[in-house]
Amino acid sequence: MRALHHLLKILVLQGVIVASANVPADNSRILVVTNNHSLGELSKKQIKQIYLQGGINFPVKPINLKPGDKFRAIFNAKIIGLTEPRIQAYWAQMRFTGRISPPLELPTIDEMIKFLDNNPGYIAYLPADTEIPPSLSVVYRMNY
Amino acid sequence: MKSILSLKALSILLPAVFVTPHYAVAIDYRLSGFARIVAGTLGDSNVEYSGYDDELKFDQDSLLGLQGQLLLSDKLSATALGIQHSNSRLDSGIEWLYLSYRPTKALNLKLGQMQSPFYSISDTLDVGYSYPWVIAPKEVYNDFVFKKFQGIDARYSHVAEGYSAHLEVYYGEFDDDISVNSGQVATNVEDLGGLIGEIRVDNLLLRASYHSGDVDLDLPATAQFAQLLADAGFSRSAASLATAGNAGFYQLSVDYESLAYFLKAEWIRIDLQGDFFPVIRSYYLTYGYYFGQFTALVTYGRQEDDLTPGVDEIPTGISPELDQLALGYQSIYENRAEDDITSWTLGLRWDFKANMAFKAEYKTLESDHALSSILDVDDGTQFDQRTSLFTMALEWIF
Repeated sequence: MRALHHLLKILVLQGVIVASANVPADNSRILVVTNNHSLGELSKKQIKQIYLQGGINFPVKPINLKPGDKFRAIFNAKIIGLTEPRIQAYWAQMRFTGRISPPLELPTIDEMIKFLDNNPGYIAYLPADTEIPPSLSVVYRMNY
Repeated sequence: MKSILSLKALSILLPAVFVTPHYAVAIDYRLSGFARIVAGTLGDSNVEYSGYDDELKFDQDSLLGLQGQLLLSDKLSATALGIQHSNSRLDSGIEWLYLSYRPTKALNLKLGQMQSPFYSISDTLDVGYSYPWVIAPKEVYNDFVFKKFQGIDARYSHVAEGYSAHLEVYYGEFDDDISVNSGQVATNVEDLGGLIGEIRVDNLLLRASYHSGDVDLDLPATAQFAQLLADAGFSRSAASLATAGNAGFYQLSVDYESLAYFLKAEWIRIDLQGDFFPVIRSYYLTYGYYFGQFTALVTYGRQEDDLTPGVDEIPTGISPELDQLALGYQSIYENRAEDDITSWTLGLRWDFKANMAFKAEYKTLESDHALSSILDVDDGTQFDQRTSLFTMALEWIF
């Protein structure tokens, strides 16, 4: 038990030393778009609320990329401000209380754009260099 | 021909029940679940804590849960949660069964059997994946606090730009066994109700709640002795052994999350009317640090019991019968355990897949008193008032 105690201590200390960032090193930017043109610009806080609270007071529903996607990781870090495991844990809690359902998940950017074309009332994030079709409006642009 | 017909019937019925919701007769549904395998061992051979002793045990906290939700309309849904515990002391079967009605986006009404919302993590105490510890701090998330009730619950949400707030009220009853010191006690709680307020500003979440109910514990030996005292005319002594009364439960919690670390603290106070039961005050504080797929965490926990002394009503030295009665009364009071426990926990969580995690945890426990109901010591053995628990868990949600 003593040895174990010691081992855990070392692991914790190492964690502090390693302190690897949860944000991808890649500096890609994203922007947030919607097919509801009445929305106007949104703040980071508002987008976070739409994603974590199911958009209670916004007329749009959120769409996500699958876990593990680079742009999802950037969105998590820069807009939501939580790590992927924490977001998963949050949705586990919400799912089992039946309060809010997690956003719909799509596998690729192309499918996201296709989905937005066919289903009104959604919000999604795309790489900043995506050519935005006229059917979509940009509601948030990352400035850093 | 018959077999083709029945196949046909199956092919029509099956999709409605199991396969893609597109075929289902306008009824959408969701199936989700969680499982955890928890192994633990205690550092001492003569002590038991929360079902663990010095042997490696897998059957105390391991479980499998399956939740089905029928979306009957945009506003109405039905939820059932079944849990299979590996621990034979705990009831397996339907845990929740309720109807949920959402007349507006902001209001949610539930009717049926559902989680009793005492704690910040009441909803997910069985879903190990959703919290950082292997065993959620028992000082606060005490085994005897029942996890479900039958009744009605209303939750109102308000989301504004800078914050979101939730107000929840519920009313109902509980009639089942509760876990007390590794045993089960039949318990009835009437007029159970509570008020919960929650506010979230950025990554900070505050929750405060108050709950109350008329609790009746089925402790036949105590009740019989109280009756004996009452028959002998010692009504104050009898009343001090009452196993029924109003209970109040107060709760406060704070959660803070960032990309690099989190803090979580929860405090509770349980007041059970009557002298026999202690006033319990417990709290814990957890700091967790994220590094890549890992979370390292440290938790400090404390439980404090306040015991009220018994009444001094029965005269001694008059007759042997009265002496006997006084002695019996005194021994009941003296044998009450006063649990003043301090704990430190170091833990590590590894999120190796999006829906799976591995955890390891080392917890030290120290009791202020030799007699403790939480640290259950074998009779007649030496106890240095401290022990340690090592646990590991594999968590899965699907």
